[in-house]
Amino acid sequence: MKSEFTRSEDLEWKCARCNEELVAGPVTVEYLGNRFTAELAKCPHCGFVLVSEELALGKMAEVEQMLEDK
Amino acid sequence: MECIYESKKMQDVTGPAIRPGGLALTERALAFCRLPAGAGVLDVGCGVGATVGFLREHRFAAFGVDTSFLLLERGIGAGPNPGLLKARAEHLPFSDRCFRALFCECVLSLLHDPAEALGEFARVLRPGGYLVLSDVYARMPDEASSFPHLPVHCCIKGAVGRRQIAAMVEGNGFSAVIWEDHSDLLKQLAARLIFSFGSLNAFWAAASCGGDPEAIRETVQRGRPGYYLLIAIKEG
Repeated sequence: MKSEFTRSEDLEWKCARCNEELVAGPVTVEYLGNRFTAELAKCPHCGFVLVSEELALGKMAEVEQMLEDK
Repeated sequence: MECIYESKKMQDVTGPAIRPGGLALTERALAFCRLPAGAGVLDVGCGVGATVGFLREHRFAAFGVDTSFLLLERGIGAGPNPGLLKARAEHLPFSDRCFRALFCECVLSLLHDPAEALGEFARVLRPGGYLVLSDVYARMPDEASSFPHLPVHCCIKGAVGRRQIAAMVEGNGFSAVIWEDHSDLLKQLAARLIFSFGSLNAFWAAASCGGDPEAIRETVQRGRPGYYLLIAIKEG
């Protein structure tokens, strides 16, 4: 599944447990009591989500900082 | 030029109700107002008609107005007789006292003259009718004086403080009965925008007309934008 929101490199991974290629799909993210949906690369079988270093240090870090601001 | 609200990318983030929380505050307000079945309800700034569709599902005689041809066209294309019209909030094409409730969700702050629009809302509402406002506001209004000069076309530009909003509402013949802060909904939308656009700076770059996105982000942050739900009753 192609998506403009998910990096194409992330979709080159396979789930180690299910041996399924990752797809872009909605994932519910929760932080500091805030729950929202984001589109990330995940296993279509078990739902395991790939959080790449770039994602953790980029978008996720910015979201965390924004949610921590009073 | 297509405004950020009209873009497909924005609607992919928000869904058809282009605002923080989607229909959550619409539903909350509706539960409070307890309108009789078949009541006439107007949605000002209806966009593609998400609220109007929701109100019609609840068996109200709902109509919507918007100034965006693009959004209205998408809504009108979705089904027969959606009840959507092109009109400005300041000049509503309806007779006096014909609605029991009027919704204006994430729109007042976009208007050139919100006080004039509130006067028009009072005209089309029956005495005792409900005004439901939800919108962005400045939680640090003293820091928001430069919002009107931001090179963007979005609701932040018209965000003012709670006192100013209450004074405008009450100055146009309404008594406020509920003020609730729902700033978490704005934060959740901002989080989704970061995931979709890549960063808040990338969002501001898309929403601005040539301004420095970092400067826009810093200016906006200083005013500490929040989101509110206000319900008021038109005085008799």
